[in-house]
Amino acid sequence: MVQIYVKYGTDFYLLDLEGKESINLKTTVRELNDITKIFAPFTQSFKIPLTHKNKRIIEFFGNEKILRNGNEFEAKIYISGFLFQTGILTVKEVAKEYSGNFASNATGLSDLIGDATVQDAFKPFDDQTQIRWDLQTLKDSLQTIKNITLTNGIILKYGIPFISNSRTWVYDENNLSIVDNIKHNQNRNSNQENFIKLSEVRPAVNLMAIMEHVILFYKLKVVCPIFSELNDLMVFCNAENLITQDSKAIAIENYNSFSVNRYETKDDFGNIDLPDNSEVRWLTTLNQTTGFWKVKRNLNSYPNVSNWFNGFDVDIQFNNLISLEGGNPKVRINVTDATTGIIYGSALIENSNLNTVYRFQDIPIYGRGFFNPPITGYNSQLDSNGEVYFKIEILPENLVSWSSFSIRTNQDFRYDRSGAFGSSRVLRAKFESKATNTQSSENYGGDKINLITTLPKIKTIDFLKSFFKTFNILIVNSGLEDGTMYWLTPNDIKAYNQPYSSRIETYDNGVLTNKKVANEYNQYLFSHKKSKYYDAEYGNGTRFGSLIYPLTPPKNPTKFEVATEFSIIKQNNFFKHPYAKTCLAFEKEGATVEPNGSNRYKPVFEEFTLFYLIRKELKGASLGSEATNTSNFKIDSILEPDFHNNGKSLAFGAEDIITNSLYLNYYKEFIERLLNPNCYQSDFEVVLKPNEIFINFSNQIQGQSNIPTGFRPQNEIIIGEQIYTLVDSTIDLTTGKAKLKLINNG
Amino acid sequence: MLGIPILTNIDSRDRLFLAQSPIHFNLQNNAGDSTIQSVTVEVYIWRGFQTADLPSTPNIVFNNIKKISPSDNYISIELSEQIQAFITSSNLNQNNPQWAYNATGKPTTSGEGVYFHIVYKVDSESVKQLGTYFATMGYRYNFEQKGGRYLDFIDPETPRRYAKSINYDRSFINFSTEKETSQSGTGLNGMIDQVDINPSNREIQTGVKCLIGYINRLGVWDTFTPFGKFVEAIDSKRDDFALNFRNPLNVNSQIQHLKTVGAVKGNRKFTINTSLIDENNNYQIQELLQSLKLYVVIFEDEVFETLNIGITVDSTLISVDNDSITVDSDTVRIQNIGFYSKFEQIPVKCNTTNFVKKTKLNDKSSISYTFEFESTNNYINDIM
Repeated sequence: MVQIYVKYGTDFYLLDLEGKESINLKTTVRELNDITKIFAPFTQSFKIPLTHKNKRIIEFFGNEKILRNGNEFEAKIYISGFLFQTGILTVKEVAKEYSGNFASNATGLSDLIGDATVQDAFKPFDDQTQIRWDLQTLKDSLQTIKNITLTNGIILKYGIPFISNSRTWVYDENNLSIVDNIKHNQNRNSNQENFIKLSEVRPAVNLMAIMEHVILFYKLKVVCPIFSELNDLMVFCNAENLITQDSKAIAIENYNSFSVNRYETKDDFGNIDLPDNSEVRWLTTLNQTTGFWKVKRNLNSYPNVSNWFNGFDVDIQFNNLISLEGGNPKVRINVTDATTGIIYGSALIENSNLNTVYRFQDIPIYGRGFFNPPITGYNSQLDSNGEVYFKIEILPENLVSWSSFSIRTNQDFRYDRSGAFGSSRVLRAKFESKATNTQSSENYGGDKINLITTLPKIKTIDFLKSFFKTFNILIVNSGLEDGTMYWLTPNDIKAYNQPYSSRIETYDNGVLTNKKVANEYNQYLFSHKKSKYYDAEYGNGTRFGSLIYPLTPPKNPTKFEVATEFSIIKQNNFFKHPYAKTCLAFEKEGATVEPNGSNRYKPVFEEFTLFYLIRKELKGASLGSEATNTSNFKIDSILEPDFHNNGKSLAFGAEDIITNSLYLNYYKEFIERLLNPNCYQSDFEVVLKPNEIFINFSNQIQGQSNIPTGFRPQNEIIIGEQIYTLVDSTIDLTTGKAKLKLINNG
Repeated sequence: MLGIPILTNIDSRDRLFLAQSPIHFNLQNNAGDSTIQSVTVEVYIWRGFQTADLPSTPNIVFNNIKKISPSDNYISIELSEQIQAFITSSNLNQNNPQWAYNATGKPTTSGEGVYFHIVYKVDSESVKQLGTYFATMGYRYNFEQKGGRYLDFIDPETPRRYAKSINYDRSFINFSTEKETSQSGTGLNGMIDQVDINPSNREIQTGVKCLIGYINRLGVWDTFTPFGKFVEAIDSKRDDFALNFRNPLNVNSQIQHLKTVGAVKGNRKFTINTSLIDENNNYQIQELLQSLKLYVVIFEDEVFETLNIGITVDSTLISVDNDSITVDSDTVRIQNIGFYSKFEQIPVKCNTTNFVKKTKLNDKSSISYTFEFESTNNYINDIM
């Protein structure tokens, strides 16, 4: 029996209903891995008879003249005494009865997550997910997995997988001079390529941290047994840019060695007293406390002399500016008004020359005029003393490092006079003020990378969907009041005596209404994303990790298709090391040849790549990683990327000797049943008893079964002398009349 | 809020509304002319004591409603739907009006009517009041409105037939209460005046099984006594489900049911004949057919006997030797002797839809009617 309680005043009152309402709950097992459908909010329309009580409760809806509070009412639906949904009843129409529409308060997950990316969920933790990206990190993280514990308790594990994204490494014990031979050799220096370079590797983070964070962020309650098997599963941080566009500007605030100098003078006029270095009327000064520069215009003292004829200049110089991603550094510098934040000048330094000077020439300041005071009508940025404060901000556009930073301002005093033979400059003086910032990028955190923003961009919903497809996970309601759901692989459903395990329910009143061939499919395709990795495709056109049966498409294919957004990467055998294996994280085509004869390839970016990271000792066959100009680090162990772990593979099909595939583990049983000619879909009409409609936990007493009774989609169902599993069910919760589509187990 | 209601006494028939018929008010400005533009009306609707239970805020507000045509000199509001809703559902957890037959006295009734009071303001004129009214679930006949005004309504006619062994009473609207003490029910200072009737001429025909209680045209409880044939029947509905069994070879078909029965729904129906009645009882038959609420009271043959007389204290019958003993409300008194002591009251609806008026002219003495009533509750209690 359906009951709707509606809030009127402070209390909830029962609406009069006709008693014919039914609430049908439809569950389709094939949709149970589509999280958007599982989380769709409950809606139901109701016909509400025009009884006097109902008229009062919904405030005489339809009477144009009566003052009402609106057409939406807080409401609760009870079925057979159980609270089924809480939400809003909207009354929309009245004819012979009111038409109302109930919508539950629960927001659908699609609305909740929308188009948000995994990265968005981590935004509040932006400062916590960063690691320094330097040569020391390279050395450490190539060898061990490290942890960061976020303030929400999530443990982010990271390491650098033994993968180059631009070249094929070589290992040769004997011939150390072979190009790209990364065997450790004490004598290698930074002019050589024969060690692992920071710019060719990327970190990886554990998938479970992402998953657990997403679950926590969206306040989901999940029990998922397979999580415990995935602790070593990592995701490659292979976003194209190591820096995100919304990275914060670094304000340079500390300077040393401030000095001023007058370096060019000309005085044909004779009797003009050019200011010297000590005069405050023009001086560029530096406030060391704030790091703000102050430039000052000549004011009234010399009415015929102007400075900043074309504005003032600012020179900026990085020392040892390099990109940590390889290639040219890219860094933007802004000269900004210190009080208003107005950008006076912005320049992108993109140069391989390590010590480039960048000049912001003639930074114009409004209010400039040939004669002082500034021309009336200009909205002068100068204050009443003719002064302006500016500061320097740095915005790296790729990950760069620098050792120090210099700044110099140039001011120009001049006086031009018109004469019978044209104008002539009779007076000029140039002054510079300079200082150095001796702090390196390290001190500003400028060489940190964010482990989350460097993951390939993926929508949270696609991330979850791909995860469910990878492991053939069903999302099943636990029936617990806190909204816990179970994410179950077919193996979990068969687990012994777990609250989520399948239970065998016998229905003694099933009536068979139809029976038909269960299998409508004639081609099965299982695949991850179509990857660009070097080894993604075999010579015969099949793709690494995918499974297609039959390979030649049938004439009228009806496909059963499982495709994820994930990539996996194959180990490559070219690297002949006795203990370590690597993968090639670059494209097969379009290599460039270096002068030394080696190939440089185009890295594959933005593929959400999964692999297990397994620590391997190199047992003396050490490798080298980039260190300083004159040395390299010795690497004695690596984190080997592998698409399988403990015999369980991330490939859908068998690969080489690895046959324990995703298909075998999670899909085989179901697909093979469909292929069996004795498999039918049987439609039954069953009347579920009240205690069979809702999940109940009365059996959860110690020593008894942990598995609750009641209708659950993961249950196995016995009708007569046959056992079935569920395909689709429609249950009228009010009467228990259920239509079940079942397929027979063997 | 426009202003606090200034209550008035309900002291004449024009302060009574029968809410199943329309309740119109035409509101005008002071001049009574077409300069009226809009009106705001606040309606207070309540039951209980007229003064003590007045709501603190209006129950219905007509906010700033505009006139329809420029030449209109009035703005009309109609209240019957709202008044009805407040009479039947003034308490949202029960349905009024209610009636309970009593073997030893007058029936207990409640919820027959409500007070309502109108405060209104036309344009920027000062706030006015229309005073307090009383309304029941009664109705007017169509000939009781003429030329834009209500005529006086007609009281129910009085001729009735009374049976032996049944308690009778009649209810009337009381127009003599004072607003300070008036209350909307029966009893002291009640708007409903409940009068015992001890008919001198009771029909002595035996076999009278039932009494029909109904809301009459004034919206108060009334009774009709049928003397004719009384047939009770039960309609039942059930769902059958087939049963399957594991290990079918071992099923003992002499013991096992192979079908199971779902919920059984039994529905009681009563076919009642009035027996021969007088032509001037026809009005009562009409009211009964148009009544919004009916009960059938079925009597068993047991009547109070001398043995039962006495007062009961906490339901124990004791002899009277002490004046200070207080008396339970269902004390059987000497005047109850001979009256039915056991009865069953059944809420019913009338299934008979057609009434062909029978008259002496057409039908001579054979004026009788047969009604079918149906219980509104299942015989098996399934109140959830």
